[in-house]
Amino acid sequence: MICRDSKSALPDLLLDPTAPTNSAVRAHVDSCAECRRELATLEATFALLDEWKAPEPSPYFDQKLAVRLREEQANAPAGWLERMRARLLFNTGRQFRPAFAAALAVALLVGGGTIANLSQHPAHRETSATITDLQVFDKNDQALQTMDQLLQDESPSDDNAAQPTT
Amino acid sequence: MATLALNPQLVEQLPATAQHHAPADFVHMDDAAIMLELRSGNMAGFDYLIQKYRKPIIHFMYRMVHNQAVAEELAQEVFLRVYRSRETYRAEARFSTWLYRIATNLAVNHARDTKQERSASTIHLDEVDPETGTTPDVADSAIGAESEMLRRERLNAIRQHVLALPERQRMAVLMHKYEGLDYKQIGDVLKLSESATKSLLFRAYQTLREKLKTFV
Ligand SMILES: [Zn+2]
Repeated sequence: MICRDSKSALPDLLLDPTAPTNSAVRAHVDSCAECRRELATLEATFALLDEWKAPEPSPYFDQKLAVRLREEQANAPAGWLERMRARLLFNTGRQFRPAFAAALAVALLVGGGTIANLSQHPAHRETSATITDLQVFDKNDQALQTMDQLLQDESPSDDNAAQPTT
Repeated sequence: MATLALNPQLVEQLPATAQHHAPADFVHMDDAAIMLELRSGNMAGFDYLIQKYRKPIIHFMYRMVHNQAVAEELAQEVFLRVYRSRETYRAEARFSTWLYRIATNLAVNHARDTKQERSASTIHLDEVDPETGTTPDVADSAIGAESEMLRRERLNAIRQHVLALPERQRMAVLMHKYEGLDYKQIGDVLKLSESATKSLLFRAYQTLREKLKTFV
């Protein structure tokens, strides 16, 4: 092993000195004074970095997360909408997004109306039609807001949140 | 560890669409398998994953943003995004890689959103946190005032110089040094080859060694 390779492997050696994969570096360091010095100063830096402790999670963390998850569950749209949104965020080309959002809005309007009509009791059709419409619009509005938020939230780099393809 | 973060009633209300494992089984299960159970509605498994990863993710976020309240908020956001993406999760990458990828993206977005505030606040890192009212790096009461001052100075230097690293170097150091991820996994998170990750880390540690040499 040459010094250049040895040096770039030093951080690894520091984190896991006994790993079999580090034996070559170890052997080189044992025989090379310069790399030994390098290792020593890096060791000191590593030890120094250890002083930076992070505080324990606060007792409220779990509670708050539980509340947010429950809200998420309560607001969870139908399965297909969830899938559509996920597809929008992770799989679709950015350039198609506005079109998708618009298509989704139309689908919601049509779908929402259909579901409302089906579930509506015939006897109450006259009185509840307006309310139902309002509810549908309200739901569509919410869905669009969520959509906008999601689209805004995602900066270009956020595409990386999807799983790697490798 | 045993805290059930979710209302047990909610778990019961969920339709039993699949054979769900009992909480005790999760220890022996692969994270990816637990995620697949979440897709079919098993919230107990998700709760297990939260308990397993909350601390590393909160710590990672804390070192990225240096504010406990913000770090916890962002960590919650990470788990919410995991939950939202349960349908699209594919067990191609390790679950933790995916988790850290979401975390790094959120941290970067946060850093960009608060760029102005941040450049002002880095100068005053030792001040009391306005949100929590504490300086989170708890001092050891046994040591004297003078060595305490030195310790604070050292800590500030560490934070400032880690924070001053280029974005990817900083994230790589946090994952490598403090969360114990290996080159391969860090590379997967940052979309770099293993050797690129290695040299990224090497450059970062070289810089830190140079900047912090007065303290070692
Ligand atoms: Zn050498």
